[in-house]
Amino acid sequence: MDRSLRSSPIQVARESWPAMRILSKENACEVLSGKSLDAFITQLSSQLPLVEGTYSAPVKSGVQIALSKLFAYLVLRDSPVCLYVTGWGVATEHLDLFDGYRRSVGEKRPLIEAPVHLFERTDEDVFISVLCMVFFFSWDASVFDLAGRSLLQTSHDGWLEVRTSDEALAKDVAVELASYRVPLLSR
Amino acid sequence: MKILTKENASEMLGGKSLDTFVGQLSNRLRQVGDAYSTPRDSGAKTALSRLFAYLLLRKSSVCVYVSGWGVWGSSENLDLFYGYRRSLGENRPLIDAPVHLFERTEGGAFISILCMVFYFVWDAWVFDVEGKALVRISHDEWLEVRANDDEAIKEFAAELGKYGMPLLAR
Repeated sequence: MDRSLRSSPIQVARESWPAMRILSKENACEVLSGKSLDAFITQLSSQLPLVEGTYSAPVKSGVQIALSKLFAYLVLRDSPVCLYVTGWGVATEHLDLFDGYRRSVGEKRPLIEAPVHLFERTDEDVFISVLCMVFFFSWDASVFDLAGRSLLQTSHDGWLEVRTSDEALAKDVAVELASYRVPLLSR
Repeated sequence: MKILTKENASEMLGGKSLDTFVGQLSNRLRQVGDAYSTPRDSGAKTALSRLFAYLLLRKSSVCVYVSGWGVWGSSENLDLFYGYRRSLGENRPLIDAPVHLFERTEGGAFISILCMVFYFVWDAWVFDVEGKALVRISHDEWLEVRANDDEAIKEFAAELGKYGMPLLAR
């Protein structure tokens, strides 16, 4: 994989406005055909096989950014992807940056009212930016595709787990996390 | 917060070029300790940005001049930086407008910009417009702090020490 292809362009103006939508939990429930967000994630978590084991979440900002780019490349495919921020306020964070970035895409509601971000395949840069902040601020979050094939969960307790039914994706994730020297917690 | 070109910043500094200003400041002010090693942990970077907001912004307006980027391309995210600046009405690219001027009440924005400088491992100069303190941040993961009087030097050293910032030379 050529990582340079995933670098952000230098220009400021977007070639196209992001299709990302930011939703309340209730709106997200509608997207999931009436199933509650938490029930959907719990179901995914119990159904999808875990990739390798529980990883120690990276703390170095450079690795956090690289991993955000990696996950964008791996999961933003044919199905829309949800990033649901479930917990914040535990570790050192800076909400002005997060709120400011969301304002730039037209979102003025606070995180507690609209914690769900829904990305289309063309929203790679925005997905990376939001996931970067989840890592920078050690937030709890679940990232999953609406087709229910993959689930990434990060915790303020310093761990992350990836689950997927896609064997090729599982292999890619394991290889890439190893290449970034992200250790498994249990080893 | 105002975002300025280097030429605008030069006018603000009485006609002196920005690079000359920071160069002269660097020569005139006394260094606090030695060069410090910049933390790699994102949480520590956020906390350090808050510490500098506390130390620098309480007395006068402060500039963050981003002087270098793109060295560690895989470690930066320009979309986040530009998105944040767009939320403040700024659409110019960094190369055209690299100077951020903060008033004392703009701690939140100062911390956001400085956090990104640290997260993305950029080069930057941070100084108060009265020329009493200067922080030089390098993409080689070190930083230097300079101040103009004994009291300020002592306070910077104490706060950075309390924070556990390691000196490069140790």
